[in-house]
This record gives sequence, C-alpha cells and structure tokens, in this order.
Amino acid sequence: MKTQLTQQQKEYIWQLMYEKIAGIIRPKDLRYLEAQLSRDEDMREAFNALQYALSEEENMDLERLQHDEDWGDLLGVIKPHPATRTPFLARTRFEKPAIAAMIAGLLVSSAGYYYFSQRNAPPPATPADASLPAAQAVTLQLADNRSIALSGQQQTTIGKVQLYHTEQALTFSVQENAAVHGGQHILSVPNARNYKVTLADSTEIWLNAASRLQFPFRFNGNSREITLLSGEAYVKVAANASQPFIIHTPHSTVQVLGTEFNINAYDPGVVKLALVKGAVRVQSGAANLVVKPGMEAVCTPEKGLYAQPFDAREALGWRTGKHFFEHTPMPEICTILTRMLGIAAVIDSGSSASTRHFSGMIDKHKPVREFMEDVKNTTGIDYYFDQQGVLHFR
Amino acid sequence: MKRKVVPQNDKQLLRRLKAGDADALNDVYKQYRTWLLLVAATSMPDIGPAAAKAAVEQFFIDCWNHNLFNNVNVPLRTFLFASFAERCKKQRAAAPFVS
Repeated sequence: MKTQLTQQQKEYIWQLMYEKIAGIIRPKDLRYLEAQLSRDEDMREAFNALQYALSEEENMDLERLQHDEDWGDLLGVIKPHPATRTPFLARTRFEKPAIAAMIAGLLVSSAGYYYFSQRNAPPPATPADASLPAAQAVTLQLADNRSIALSGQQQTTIGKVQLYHTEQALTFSVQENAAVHGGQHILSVPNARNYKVTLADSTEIWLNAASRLQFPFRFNGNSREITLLSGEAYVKVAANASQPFIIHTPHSTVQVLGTEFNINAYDPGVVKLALVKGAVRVQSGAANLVVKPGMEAVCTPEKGLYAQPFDAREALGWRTGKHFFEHTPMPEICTILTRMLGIAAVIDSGSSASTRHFSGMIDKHKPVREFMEDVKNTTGIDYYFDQQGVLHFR
Repeated sequence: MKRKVVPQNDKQLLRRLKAGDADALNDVYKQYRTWLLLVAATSMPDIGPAAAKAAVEQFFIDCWNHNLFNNVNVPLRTFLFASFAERCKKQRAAAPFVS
C-alpha cells in the first residue's frame, strides 16, 4: 500500500530536487530523494517535469551562472541601505503555465508560515561604517523629462514598457508589436553606488558610481546605439551580427563586434577601453583602432588614440568594490573617494598633501578608516573627519 | 574569472549570520544563489533570467536588512528554500493576467 506523503515531506522532496539539479545535494539527502522518487510516482513525474522545464530554459546554463560577474555585488548594497519593503510584482504571460502552476502549487502551499512571522517589524539595518552617508537613489530620466527614482524593488509601467528594478539592477520589457519610439532615456548612478541595466537586446551593462548612460527602450534601425555620457561601465554585449552595437562617449565611438569590455570616461577628454573578450573598433575623430583582448585603447587630447596592455586588477577592480592607486596624486584620490564612498574629501590649505602621491588599494566594503590608516602609515599624511562628516587630509 | 565556491557548513554559516557577519551573507549568497535561481526560473517562468537573478539578489538583501536570519530555527537550506519559494509564489499570484 502506498503511503501518503505529508505536505511537509513533499516540500522537503522539492527542495532536494532543486538541490540535486543545482549540484549541491548532500549524499545522505540524495539517497533519501532517490528512495522517495522510486516509491512515489507523482513525485517522480514532478521531478522529470522539473528537469524538463529547466532544460527548456535557454538562459539557465548552470556553468554560466556560477560566474561571479553575472551576479550583483551583495556586499556593495547591504551596508548603507535601510530596509525598504516594497512588494515586487512579477510579470507573467503564462506561456508555460502548466509546469509553473504545478511547481508553485506543490511547492509552497504551506511553506513559509513558520519563517516569516508577521509580528516582527523589521529593525533598521545598521550601517557597518557609520562615517559613510546613506547613498542617493539611482534615477532614470525619460525622454519626456520625467524622472523616476529606482529605489526599493518595484515594477513601473510607462506606456507599453514595463520596468522592473531593485536596489542594484534594472530590467525592462516592451510589449510585443507595440510601437515604441527610439526615445533616449538617461540612467544616472550617484556617488557610492553601482548599478546594472539589461538592455532590450539582452546586453548587460554594469555602471560604476557617478556614471550616466543614455539608451532607448528598443533598438530600432540598423544598429544598436547607446551613449556613455560620463563615468565608467562594464559592458557585455549580446551578439547580433545584423545589428552592430555602437557606444558613443563624449570623445570617441566604439563599434563592438560581440564582446566584453570596460569603458572609462571619468577624466574629461580621456576615454579608456579595456577589452576582456571579443573585438572592438574604437574611433575618435578621424583615427580608428581595432583592439584585441588584454589591450586597452586610450584616447587623450594630447596623445590621440593608442593601445597599451592593461592591468585587470586596476581596470576591473571596481566591479568587486576595489580601487587600485599607483602613484596617484592626493587631490585625485579625494575625487575618487567622493565617487566611491559618497563622502566629501578635501585637503586642508597649506597641507603638503596637495602635492603628494599614494600607491595602494581601497576596498569599499571595509571601513574607510582602514584605508586612511594605510595612507597615514605610508605617507605620513594625517586625516580627520569634521562635524559635517567631511574627510580632511592635513 | 570563474570562481570555485568552497562549500561551507550550514550550521556555522547560520551562526555567523545571526552574529551579523556580512561575509557570511556573501558566502551563503555565493553558495546558494544558483540553486534559488532555479526555483525562481521555474516558479516565475516569464520574468526572464535577469529579473529572476534580481529577485534572488533582493531576497538575500531583504533577509539581511530585516534580520530574518535571527529567527531561523530550522536548517539553513530549509529556511532559504521555503521562504524564497513562498516569495516567488506570492509574486506570481500578484502578477497581472496578460493573455
């Protein structure tokens, strides 16, 4: 006679099914799962359906999902942000309703009640580094000049376009066949924040602090064109040979041939493009240059356009919250601290610090004082915070 | 830049989470995000991979910001799975019907 599984047992078996597919199941649990599947036909069918559903998901390539850079940087967002609890609405077109409904129904019909106790009001998160101010919101300025603060986790509908945003990423979808004009919208990331946006063609862009990116909700026409108005971005372009990808900056144009690269336009007049994968052509005025992986195209007003090898730690460190200084003038370090951490930093007048340099590394996930002590120990430049929280070098 | 995740003991991780160790959150996140992404992808199949990832990220952030780990008295994986699955179900139920 077949024994009936309790709801709780079923949930546990579902948990183990996902563990098995994700490759994290423990040997003991695997034996239990296999025993249950061989015994219970419904669960066995459910497992086959689940495996099938996941094999259908084109973007659920497990190997690829393990890559660090595909995921947001959690440590970068948990510290300064007190909790905002906004219900997240998911879009559903119900193209694959059967499996989802089945899974959702079996999975969670009674789960959760013993975990999310509604009585407990969430206490505010304590910033780990009290000297850092709360970061400002990332904003999206639409072509019609309306401005949307991308805070919390929300869904916003703008005409035929649905935006989904969290504290660290924006995605959007356009209703099929809907006429969306190619209006340009501007995403602005303030100091101390990083933000990711996924464009209409699935191209992924990670923006560093103090960056502005202009893009349309849909790429009409023969090419996909966006503009990095200022700042720094890491770009992973979705391949599409029939519609070349072009990034404009104030001083150059980059034509992309399917690729991953970092583009830095922080310094006025200077653009640096470090190529990680693929190939790009960089154009500045009449000059143009094809860049190979491991090389960086640099464009400056003095030297024009040239290529040089780049140090991956220096060029890409920001993606893990690090910045490397190499004989960097202290005034420039002040600018970078403001951008990275959102604190004002100044050099007191009369201090020798204004002509000094520093080499080393800052990690935004560590207390800023650790970095200040490094500076003090290696250069002798002392520091203090005034009552407004401004950092002074003296 | 593929990184090998060294599996860590759930009990220790949970203890560190309760002690407010942000590195433990990062370890749990790296260890279990792919697993939960599969849950998101199958229970909310139409939100797309980018939004599914964002949902997983936001789940960890909310757990942290709301100190939810403090009240956990079941195995860590059980907590993560049940809470996240519940959340996906709610989001799915809240979705507007578009045919």
